[in-house]
Amino acid sequence: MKFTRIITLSLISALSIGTLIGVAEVNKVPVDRNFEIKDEKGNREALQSVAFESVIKVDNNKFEKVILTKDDVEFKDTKYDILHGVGEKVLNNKDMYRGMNYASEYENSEFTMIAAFNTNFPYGSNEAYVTIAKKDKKTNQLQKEKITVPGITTNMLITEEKLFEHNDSIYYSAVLQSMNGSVGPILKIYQIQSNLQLKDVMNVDLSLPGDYTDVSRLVTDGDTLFMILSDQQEKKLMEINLDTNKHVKHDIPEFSKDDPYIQMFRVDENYFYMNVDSSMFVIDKNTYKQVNQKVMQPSFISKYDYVSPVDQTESDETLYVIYEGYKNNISDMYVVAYHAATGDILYEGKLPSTVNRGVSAYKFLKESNS
Amino acid sequence: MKFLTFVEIDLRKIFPFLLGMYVIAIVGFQGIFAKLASNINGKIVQSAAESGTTLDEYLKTIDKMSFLSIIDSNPLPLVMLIFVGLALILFGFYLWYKEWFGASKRIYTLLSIKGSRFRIFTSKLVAFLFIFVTFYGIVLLNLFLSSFLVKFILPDQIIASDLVQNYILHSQLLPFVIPVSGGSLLFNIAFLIMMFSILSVFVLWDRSKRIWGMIGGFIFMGSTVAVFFYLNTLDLYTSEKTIVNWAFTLCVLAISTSFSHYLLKKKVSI
Repeated sequence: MKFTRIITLSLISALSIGTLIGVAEVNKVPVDRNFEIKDEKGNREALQSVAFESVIKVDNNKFEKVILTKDDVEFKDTKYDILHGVGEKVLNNKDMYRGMNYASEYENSEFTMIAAFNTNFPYGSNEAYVTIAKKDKKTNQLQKEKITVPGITTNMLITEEKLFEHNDSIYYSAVLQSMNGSVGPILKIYQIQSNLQLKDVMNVDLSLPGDYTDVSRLVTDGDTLFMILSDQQEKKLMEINLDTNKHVKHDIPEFSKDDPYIQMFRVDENYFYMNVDSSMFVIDKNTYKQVNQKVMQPSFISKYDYVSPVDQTESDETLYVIYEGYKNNISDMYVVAYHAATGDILYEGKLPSTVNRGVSAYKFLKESNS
Repeated sequence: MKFLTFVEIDLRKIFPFLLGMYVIAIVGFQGIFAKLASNINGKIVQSAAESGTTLDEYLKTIDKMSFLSIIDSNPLPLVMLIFVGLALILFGFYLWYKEWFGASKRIYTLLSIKGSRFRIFTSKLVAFLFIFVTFYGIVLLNLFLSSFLVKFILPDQIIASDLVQNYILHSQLLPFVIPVSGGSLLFNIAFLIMMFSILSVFVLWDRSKRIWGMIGGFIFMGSTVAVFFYLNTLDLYTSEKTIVNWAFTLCVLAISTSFSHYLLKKKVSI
């Protein structure tokens, strides 16, 4: 009796105190602040015009933003919400972003506007509405409305959304795919009125002859809206002129026979950039021909089970891509700089590991994010 | 009878069962963990052979391994611990209810003892908390054991330092099994006391009013669960969620504890 009492009590105290200490001890391990890019190939000077950002966890509920350049690193206190995977920008405007953390976004000097189609549609909810929120930057006044989108049935999925500005008015566009394949993808463009109501402007059929047409993200360039359409047989560049409402499908090279899925699509003053099957392609804006003479593929691709592009940016004829490679439960991140016109690899470097410190993957630091 | 004797009687009854569960938790966790780690070791050796360099050379080119890359990418060991935790909750409920159900001799003895009847409630509560605090301890113990075990399985030079502390701070899955900070430990204890009080309302109401009490108890339990789930479907950010959860826990705790107290003092008869 006495003996069991001693055993019981000592076990209680040992494990309870152990729990308390185990949990409290966490704060005593400092986060490793040594961040440096490891050269793999080429000259690091190629990274002159880019910077990287990521978020690390330094303590319970304490996060810092890491700003990494080619030979320097800087830390800034920041806010982060692990549950939703969102950072400072969302957490400083909770009223606007609530329930729509990953909305498509448009921002100018006067206001920020976000829009997201009902995320439960069509499985959890059959209401076809889009939530549009607009926040004035000077007065902080918020307008947030659920707007019914006409002409959408419950056998359709929204695969792409975009907000863009044209001639001083804001447009909301969405790509719809029907689930049974009866109707090909359709692009709908609506003009957003001052009371946030939608006015139907344009409906464009995006389907190609194949069984299933994949639509890349939408990009705007001046008065034109672009996207890549692809199926098993071919790829087309869709151009929609917003002034004349005319649309044309341009022929572009097929690039990859195996994979119709467009991982990335961007445009700048000189070229279109796209990523198919882990390879980058540069397309001339006037002739729609492939510009790069070599296939732009990182050299470490064979070292991993799979490699996928995470982020991309471009400056002065140089194309920068962040890749993530995964093998044996370890994922590594790399930055690769390509010469856009020739396809040569200018630089390849391994980004510092975020294991045991990071909560978000590296992205290119953009002016609007800082 | 002293309060400690009450607690001791309760603890002695559950001790063999707990010991069994904890042995399962430790052996199961370590077994699955060892299997996962040796799978990774096999893959590393294979990759080294494919790359055409020696193992030492290859290990220099890859990142260090932490528990994040072993456990978080294949959460089987943690899933096993969650099942042990669920079994403990059911067991706690069964213990509390079994005694009061039917014409148990023990409960008559307890109720006829002189002194505050609320001691029965608090002694059971201490036993209930003991089950969970020791469970948290067992999970941490498992992590510490694994940090030794991993050294026998993977090559030393690719094991990261401070495995356990870093895992507690950075894991996104561990918070589902145990509280990982002082604040969440406090919240978990409050939440456990609340769960126990809700169960007590059910048990005691059932005892004092039979059918109507049982129905009332079910409605009470069901509505607290419904409110809790409703609060968690709101689009709240972590900081807001913490406040809402604390408010909910403290309110329900106050209501159900005082209701249990009232039932035990005024309504439950021998």
